[in-house]
Amino acid sequence: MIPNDYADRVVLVTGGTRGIGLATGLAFGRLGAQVYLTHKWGTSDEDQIRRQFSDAGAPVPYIVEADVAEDEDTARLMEQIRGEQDALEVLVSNVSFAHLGKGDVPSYKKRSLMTTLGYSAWPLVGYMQQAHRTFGRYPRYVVGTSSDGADSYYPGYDFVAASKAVLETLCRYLATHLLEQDTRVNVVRARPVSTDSLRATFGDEFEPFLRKYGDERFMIDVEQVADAVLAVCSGWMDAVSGEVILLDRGVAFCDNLMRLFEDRDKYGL
Amino acid sequence: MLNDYTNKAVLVTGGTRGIGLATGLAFGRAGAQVYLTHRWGSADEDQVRRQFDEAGAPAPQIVEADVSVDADTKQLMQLIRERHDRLEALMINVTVVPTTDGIQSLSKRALFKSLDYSTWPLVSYLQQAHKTFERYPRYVVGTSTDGVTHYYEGYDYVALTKAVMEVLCRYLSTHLGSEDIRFNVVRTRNVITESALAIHGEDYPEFVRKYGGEPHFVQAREVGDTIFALCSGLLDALNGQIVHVDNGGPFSDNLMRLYRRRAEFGL
Repeated sequence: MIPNDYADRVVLVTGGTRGIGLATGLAFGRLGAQVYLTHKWGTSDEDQIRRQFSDAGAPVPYIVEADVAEDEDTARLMEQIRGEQDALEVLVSNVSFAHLGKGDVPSYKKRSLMTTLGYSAWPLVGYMQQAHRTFGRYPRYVVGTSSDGADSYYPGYDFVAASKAVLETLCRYLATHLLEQDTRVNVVRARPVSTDSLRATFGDEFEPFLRKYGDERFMIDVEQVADAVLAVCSGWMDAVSGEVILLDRGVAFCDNLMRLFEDRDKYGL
Repeated sequence: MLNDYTNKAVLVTGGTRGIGLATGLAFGRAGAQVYLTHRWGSADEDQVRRQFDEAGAPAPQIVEADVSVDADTKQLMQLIRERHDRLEALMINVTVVPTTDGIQSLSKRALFKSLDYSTWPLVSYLQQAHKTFERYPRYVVGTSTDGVTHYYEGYDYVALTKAVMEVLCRYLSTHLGSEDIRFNVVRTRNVITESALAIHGEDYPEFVRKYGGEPHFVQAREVGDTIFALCSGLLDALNGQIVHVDNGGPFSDNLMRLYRRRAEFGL
């Protein structure tokens, strides 16, 4: 077992009803945590989520509709948690709104960049500020989820990548501001994770393509990301703060033409 | 091969002071027709012209243009278009941000406004240049800071706007991979300009000099010369890169270095 005891501790996961968010909620739920899952887009079947928690032996999760870009929603959410709980232990800021561009310069729109930042980067700050207002202190663990789009090309991903760069830079600065406090701020950065969101973003054929010209290592599972988030909050890694932890199974280094050339016979290239 | 900049048009935003001015002078020495923009009721224009004159450079055009106002950008490009068929090099240098004071001081509005001034012009100038000249500049360079990965007090918005700039640099260079354009960012640190003193305070240089020394400063001219090198023709294979102009300083800017020299520093 991990050092920290999460029984009845409160964990808030934004974008928590699907993909990485849901897997993260389940990971904490298995340890007995009171998990709050937020969603915006008329989420998937709530009964099915509760059943997954029940099957995992986890307490029933709270499923709350809250738009991360709306300060009022954030305030209301924190008040609700405050009414039901004593403290917020963990905040996982997971929502990423992929406002995909056409991938050319003339179609760049400032408003798209700002909207993407409002959904995918700023909530890290907005939620921390509101948590402090409501509970009089910051959560002990704050984790953001990022991707390697800032350093590696993904089509149409320009503004999402930019928002992840902001998220990662915020992580470093926020961690420094909170050096004196019992709060760690970290980011888990994953390469493509097999989720609905990935398929919605890049199409159904991207994942099979990765598996065809890469191998199993080229996809990350949601459970691996969830486990990494849990590890950062486990108590084992309390000396880690302001860090961006890369989950790529070592693949980022060799995702290039040289690797394809080396194995060209195998791939029929 | 070295490029011939004689009578070529070079545009530097925030070009009347600090790094922008030093960059303008570097191109001016090569004979370029340099356009320097400013917003904040610039430095003494006569003094800027005198520096160009002393450097043997053609007189620069000094133009008032707010980088966050599209109409200003359009007007500026048309002004250049009247005299040049092409904008050869574009340098995006303006940084206007408020300082910060801990988490509770952060606001989304301030961040967005900072991005408006310090990041987005990279895109809007490029788009407007293409509209006006029907092609992109051959060279685009943005200026960034090691604040993206190293802590500076009150510097949150600077770091965030530059992080976005560096990512956009990579993406834009990919989109434009088939065109005759190179898009790079110069990342520097501790360039003691008026704006640096305004952010860090007047005592900062003395402190860095005492516990760091000269390698921990970078001169505006060194940054300008590096930007010129990126546009010189010698580095045409470089694209989408972040080039560090820092004397290698950040690597050893740590307590271990101070510890090793603690006797010398009286620590």
